[in-house]
Amino acid sequence: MTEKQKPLLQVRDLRTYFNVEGQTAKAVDGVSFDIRENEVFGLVGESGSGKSVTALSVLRLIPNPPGDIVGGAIHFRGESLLDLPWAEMRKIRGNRISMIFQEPMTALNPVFTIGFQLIEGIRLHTGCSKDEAEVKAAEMLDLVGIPDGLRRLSDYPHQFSGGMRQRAMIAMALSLTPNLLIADEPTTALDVTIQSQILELMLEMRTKTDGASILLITHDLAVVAETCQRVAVMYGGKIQEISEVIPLFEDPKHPYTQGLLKSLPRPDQGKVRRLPTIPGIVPSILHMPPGCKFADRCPERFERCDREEPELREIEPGRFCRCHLHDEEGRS
Amino acid sequence: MHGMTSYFIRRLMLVPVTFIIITFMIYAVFRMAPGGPIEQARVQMLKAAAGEAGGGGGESGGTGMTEEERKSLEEYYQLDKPIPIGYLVWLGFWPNSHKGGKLSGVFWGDFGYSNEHSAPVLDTIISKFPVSIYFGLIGYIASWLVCIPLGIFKALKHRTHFDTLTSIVVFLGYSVPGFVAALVLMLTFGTNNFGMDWFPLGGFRSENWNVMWDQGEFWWCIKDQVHHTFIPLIAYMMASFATMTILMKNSLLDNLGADYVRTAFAKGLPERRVIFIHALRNSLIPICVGIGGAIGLLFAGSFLIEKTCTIDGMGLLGYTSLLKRDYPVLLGILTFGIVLRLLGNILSDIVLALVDPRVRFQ
Amino acid sequence: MIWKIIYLVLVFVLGWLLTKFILPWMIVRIGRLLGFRMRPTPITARRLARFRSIKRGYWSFVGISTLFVISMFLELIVNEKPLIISYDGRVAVPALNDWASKIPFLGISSFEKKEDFGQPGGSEVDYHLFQEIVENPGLISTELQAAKKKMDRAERSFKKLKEPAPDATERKKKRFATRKAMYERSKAQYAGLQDAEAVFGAGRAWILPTLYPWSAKSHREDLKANPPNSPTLEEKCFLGTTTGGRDVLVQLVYGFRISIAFALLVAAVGYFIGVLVGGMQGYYGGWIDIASQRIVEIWGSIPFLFTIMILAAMIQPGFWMLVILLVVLRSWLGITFYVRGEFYREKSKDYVQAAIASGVSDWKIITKHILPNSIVPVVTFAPFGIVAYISSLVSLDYLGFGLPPGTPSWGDLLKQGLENVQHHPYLIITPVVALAATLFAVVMIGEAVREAFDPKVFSRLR
Ligand SMILES: Nc1ncnc2c1ncn2[C@@H]1O[C@H](COP(=O)(O)OP(=O)(O)O)[C@@H](O)[C@H]1O
Ligand SMILES: [Mg+2]
Repeated sequence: MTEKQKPLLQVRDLRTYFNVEGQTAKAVDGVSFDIRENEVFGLVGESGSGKSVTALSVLRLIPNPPGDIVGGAIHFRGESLLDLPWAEMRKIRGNRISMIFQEPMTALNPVFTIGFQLIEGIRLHTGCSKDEAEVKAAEMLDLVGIPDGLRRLSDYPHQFSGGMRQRAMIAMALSLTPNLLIADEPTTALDVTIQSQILELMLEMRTKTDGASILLITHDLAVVAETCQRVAVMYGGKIQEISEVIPLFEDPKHPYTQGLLKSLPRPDQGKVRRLPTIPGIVPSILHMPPGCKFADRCPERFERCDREEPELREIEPGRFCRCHLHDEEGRS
Repeated sequence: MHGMTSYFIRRLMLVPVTFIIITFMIYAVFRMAPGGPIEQARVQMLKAAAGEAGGGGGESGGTGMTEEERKSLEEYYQLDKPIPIGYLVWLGFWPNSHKGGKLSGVFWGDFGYSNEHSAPVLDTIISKFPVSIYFGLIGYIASWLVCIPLGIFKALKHRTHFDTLTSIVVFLGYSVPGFVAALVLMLTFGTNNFGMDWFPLGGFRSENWNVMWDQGEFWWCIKDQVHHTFIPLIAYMMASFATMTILMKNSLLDNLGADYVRTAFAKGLPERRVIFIHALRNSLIPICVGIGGAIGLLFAGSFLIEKTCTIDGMGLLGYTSLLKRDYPVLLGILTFGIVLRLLGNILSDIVLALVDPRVRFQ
Repeated sequence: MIWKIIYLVLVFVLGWLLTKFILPWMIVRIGRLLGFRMRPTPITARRLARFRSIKRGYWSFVGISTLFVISMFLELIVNEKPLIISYDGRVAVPALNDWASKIPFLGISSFEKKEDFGQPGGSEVDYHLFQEIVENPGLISTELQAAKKKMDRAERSFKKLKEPAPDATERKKKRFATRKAMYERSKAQYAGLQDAEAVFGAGRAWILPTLYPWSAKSHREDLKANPPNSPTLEEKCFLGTTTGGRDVLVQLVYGFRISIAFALLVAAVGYFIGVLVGGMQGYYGGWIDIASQRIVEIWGSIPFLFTIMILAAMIQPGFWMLVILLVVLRSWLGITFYVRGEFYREKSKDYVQAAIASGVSDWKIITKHILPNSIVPVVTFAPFGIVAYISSLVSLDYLGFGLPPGTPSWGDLLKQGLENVQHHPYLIITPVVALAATLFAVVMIGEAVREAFDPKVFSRLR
């Protein structure tokens, strides 16, 4: 993980806006980050902070209307995704970048068999025969821990449990050895016991296949600690802090990150006590404050926070933070 | 699969129960309602009794019914017996004293006898099937052919000028009942009021159709049939046109917004495949399920349209029987209508189970 | 002429004000009195705003409800009976009385006798004749002459007889009495007409007719041709007459009122029952749910139009009976399914479960937490239901099994249209246009409501 590594995915100043009943909702407003080769990159934040929209923007899967990517650039292996014609974009989707969604219950088409939906993607990108694709699909199911894969291919999604569906989704996403796997809260909708299984599976699959990078979206910092190398913290459509995982946990810079960490249950504390949550609520996306988005809930808030939005600046090598506390003027 | 079969067997077994409840209610209403056939029959009997005393004949005056009709009604409704027994006789599970004490009723295919038609009720009803099915079937197929593509197109062009314009047509179609449309069409294209006397004013075929057919004038016959079909067909289509189009449109719109559509796009599938394979397959489910409901219309026809266009089908039979107070035929038609509806419900369930793999009935 | 235009404008302005401002205000007031919170929740407010923003739906709603509100006062606008009639200092308001007499369960009757208004006889005043005489008092002298002749004849035949002796036969006595009575009556009539001539001649009689002085039951006897008449402008019969000689325009406007009122009643009563039944199914679940669902299914498989026709043939229903029939056989059914689902969903929510656990009574939970949610299916259903019930009424009338004969109805006009399709196209065109326009507007409302509650977007992905 040296600085020389060329980023696999480079997102710069991404802006994705939605039109909600005539008003503009800036769901993602100037997001920049890099994902390197062979890296697990975490994106954390409360629900509604724009994580999913960021991920969907990378695949250009923003529903239009009401949404639109209004600015920024996304480079994937040197190619500018936002400038690609749709036909070229489709060749990347599912093939070089694939995605796993939060809701395994609805993400699969209920009227087609698992096999149909797996084979469809394989054949689309490889152009192989139906039989070959079927063999490959069955193999993938076995690989993700669905035994008797060949027989299960003819099952419908509703015959699978939630965890199994998510496994099938992973099989689908990894069947073509993509360079980047985007996992949008892959475990949120699952039982706690299944959650770690699925996470382990994802990491395991990464080594079994060609070592894809993973963009792991979650609202759970514990998951990040277990799996990621670097992490970005999002709030109000903006990235507030980017850091390697260990420094972030040891010394969070942004008050929001500090708040998130405080709300984590600690294994060393023995008894489960009531989680301290960050007081206040996420501001409505239509009525964002003009200054710092987190100012309303920030324990460190001072006058400048309401007036002026801080910049995301590199405060240590490889460490970025968007907070007035960490610029030259500081609290003055 | 096994569970499903037993589910349908159980549903089918519910049909007789439902059937018996409804027909019993209707039978009871026929027997008890003021002004019903029995009331009329009783009035006639009183009159007849007075008439005999006065030396008059059996024929009652004016608006009432003849002695024969009264007799047949009395027989039909088993007037001399209490309602439940009479109903059992009608159903065919109690000896019919008027038929030599034999079991004879609906269950045995005996729907009674219509004096109006001088024929058994069952024959009268069945003789009307072909005409009603002809229009019902053609109308239904035609509306599928129009509504499904139109609905898809409207969904894909949602909130464009095309959508708005066709919506106006669709809502107009929804607000004008089929028989009113038939009236307007007859006025415009069936009379010379606007110089466009192109189609006949009604009827299933021309009077001399059978003669021409025997003479081998097939071309003329086909043309004549098409001519007579046009106006009623449009009226029949109107009945389901708007609902089906909107159902198709909304159903497709809902599915296009579903998560699995996003998954399909994320796989890199082209738009066409996502829309026409993934979303469409799902959105056709509610349309297919409608088949069960249509079966009733298919057989029973629509008395409004059949009356307007003087088409001699089941609907018109019901209407004329009502005007003539031909109660045996009325009860027969009602019975048929109910059975068709009940079977239609089951057919809908079967179709749903066939087209939607999620559905498993226990 | 100018008065009529002002009258018409005034009707619409007043109707609009009543609909747009006064009625909503009253509804809010009454709602508050009954203890409802009459302020919309944020969601409801957003839906309302969205509904308003859909112009065709919103204006259809304003238009239809204004017309319906105006039609509530139709007796003051389209009526044979005049607004005010004055004769020799005696003033009456027959149209207003007529209007009051139509309010159900009040039992006000309205009747102005001929003799009180310068017309011989005891039946209802002939208002058209009255107006003609007001406009042309000379007309009365011909009548006066006729009355004089009649009186003279009666006098002669009376004077021929002598007063019968006390012991005369019964027949003779009787004949004498009748001739005397006849003479006296004709004398009184003549005197009355003489008075009338004086009153009319001196201009002490006047009349203020309604905008379109014909009633649903009156015949257009002023027209020269035999009915059915085509529309004529110069005879002021704008939409022609029916085969029976009644004015089509009058039938149309009164038919509008009956149709809408009918549909509203059927919908309101039906949905009330439907919400109760569906709510019970969804709230209590279990065997109540299963059993009543079966009943709903059984009930729903009755061919309702045909059944109503058969029943109508037996009992000749009036307006209220038809409402009941349609409610019982149809309108309560469809909504139960949706309300049941709504109750089911709401009941399983945490806050309701918490309320149940803490011992809040069923009634309170239902009315406070769950019922407001079933407003959604009711409101989205109602417009389409109203279309269906208007169509049902029109169909029944068309087939001759609806409202009693003589009731103004669109279906009856359509029926006459079918019978005269060759030669009297207006008999089809007018009711069809009225029906289509009304139903179209209601459908527009329904579509706008649906759009406001559940906006559909085609979010295009590629
Ligand atoms: N299809 C959409 N239409 C309108 N607004 C949307 C849409 N998708 C997302 N948003 C808005 O974007 C914001 C960010 O949403 P999202 O990225 O899904 O948050 P999360 O961080 O929980 O994944 C939300 O406030 C949401 O309201
Ligand atoms: Mg999300």
